[in-house]
Amino acid sequence: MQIKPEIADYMGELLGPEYGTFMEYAQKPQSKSFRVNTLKADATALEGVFKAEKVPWCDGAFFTEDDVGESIEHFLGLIYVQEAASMLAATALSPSEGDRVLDMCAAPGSKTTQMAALMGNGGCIVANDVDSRRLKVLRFNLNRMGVYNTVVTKSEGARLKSKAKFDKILLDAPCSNLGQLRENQDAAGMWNRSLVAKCSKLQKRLVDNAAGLVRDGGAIVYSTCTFSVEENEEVVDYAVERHGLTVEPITGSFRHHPGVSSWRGASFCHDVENTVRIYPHENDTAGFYLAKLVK
Amino acid sequence: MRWEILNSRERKKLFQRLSAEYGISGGALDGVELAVRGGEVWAVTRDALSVEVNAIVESFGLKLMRGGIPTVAGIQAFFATADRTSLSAVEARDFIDGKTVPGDGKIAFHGSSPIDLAEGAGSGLIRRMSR
Repeated sequence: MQIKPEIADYMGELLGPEYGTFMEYAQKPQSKSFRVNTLKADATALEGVFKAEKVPWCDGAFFTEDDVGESIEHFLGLIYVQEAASMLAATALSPSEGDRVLDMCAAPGSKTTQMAALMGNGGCIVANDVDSRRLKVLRFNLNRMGVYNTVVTKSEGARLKSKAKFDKILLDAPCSNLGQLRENQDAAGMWNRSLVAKCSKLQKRLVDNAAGLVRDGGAIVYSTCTFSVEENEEVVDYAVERHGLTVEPITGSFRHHPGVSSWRGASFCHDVENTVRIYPHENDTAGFYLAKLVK
Repeated sequence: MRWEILNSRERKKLFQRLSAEYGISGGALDGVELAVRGGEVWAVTRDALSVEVNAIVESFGLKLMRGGIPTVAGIQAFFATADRTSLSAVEARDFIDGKTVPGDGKIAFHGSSPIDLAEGAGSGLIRRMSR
C-alpha cells in the first residue's frame, strides 16, 4: 500500500519509533471478528460452530478466519460481524436495562445492536442518523438482530432535540476514517488536513448538542475510527473546557496509548490522558479512539 | 401517517389469529406493545413509545407483520413456540435458498431458532419468502 507523504509525516510524528510496526500492520489484512447476539443466542451455544478466538475485551466476541457473514447463524441474527476495537464504545458506555440512550450517529447499527443486547431489549434507544440510505441498513440490522427497544430517527445529530434528557449517549462521530486503512485503502487516499478540519468542526457541534441532551450525572462516550488529534483529543478538550464534562478512565484487557496531551503547539487539559488511542499494531485491529465524558 | 397502539381487545384478536395460524403460545408477545401504521404491525417496548424528539421517526421497534403476514424478523424474534419443522444445517441452508426440504410444519427451525414461514411443496416444504 502506498501511503501519502502527508499521512506518513503525521503518523510518524504521532508514533515516533513505533511507526515502523504501525505500517507493518497497516499493510496486513485486518482480522475478522463477530459478536454473539445475546438477544437470540448465548456464546456457549455457538461454541464449536466457528473456528474462533475470544476477543479479550468483549464478552461473547470472537476473532475468526471463517466466512461468518455467509453462515446460517448470521442469517438468523445470532451473530453480528463487527470490528473488534469498535466494540469498546458500547462496552465503555455500559447501558443497562432501564436506561434511556441516544445513539447519535447510529447507522449502520453495529453499536446500536450491541447496546440493545447489553440492555436486554429493555429501556429505550433512540438510534439517529442523517443519511437515508444508511438508515435503511440500520433498520434492517435492528430487525435482523431482534431489537425492539429502539426508535429510529432521521436528523442531523447536531440539531436533534428531545423532550427528556438521556441517561447515556453514544457519539460515534463521522470522522476522517484513517483508522480503517487496513480494511479500506480509500480511507488513506481521502485523508487530508482540510477533511480533518471539517470533521473536527462537525464533531464539536455534535458534542455541543450531546452535552445538552445528557442528564446531569449521565455519560457520553465519544468515539472515532481515526488517529487525527484534531478529531480526538482536541474535541475532548473542547468538551471539557466548554461544557465542564469530566473524562473517566476506560479500563479493559486491551493494549492502548493514552490520549496525547499536546500536539503541534496546542496543549490539552489533563483529562485527555484518560482517553484511549488504539493503533492497529497493539491488538491487531482497526484504529479507534474513545473517551468517556461525564456531566 | 400516525402510529396507532393496539388496545387490549385488538391485541388479543391479533394474538388469537397468530396462535391459530402458526401455533405460537401465550407469552410470545409479552413485554411489548403493538403499534400499527400503514398496514404494518410493529412490536416495541413501552419505554420506546414514550420518546419525543424533533425528528422524523422512521421506525418504532421491530416490524412484526406486513400486509397481514409475519415478517422474517418477527418470526425469528417471537415465534419460538410456533408449529415447527426442525431442519439440519444443510436443510436450513437449502430452505433459506428457496429449495424444497422435508417436513410439514408451519415454521422452519434450525435448532431452537425459527427461520421463516414454510408452505407445502410436493412432499416437502419451501420457504414462503415472507418479508
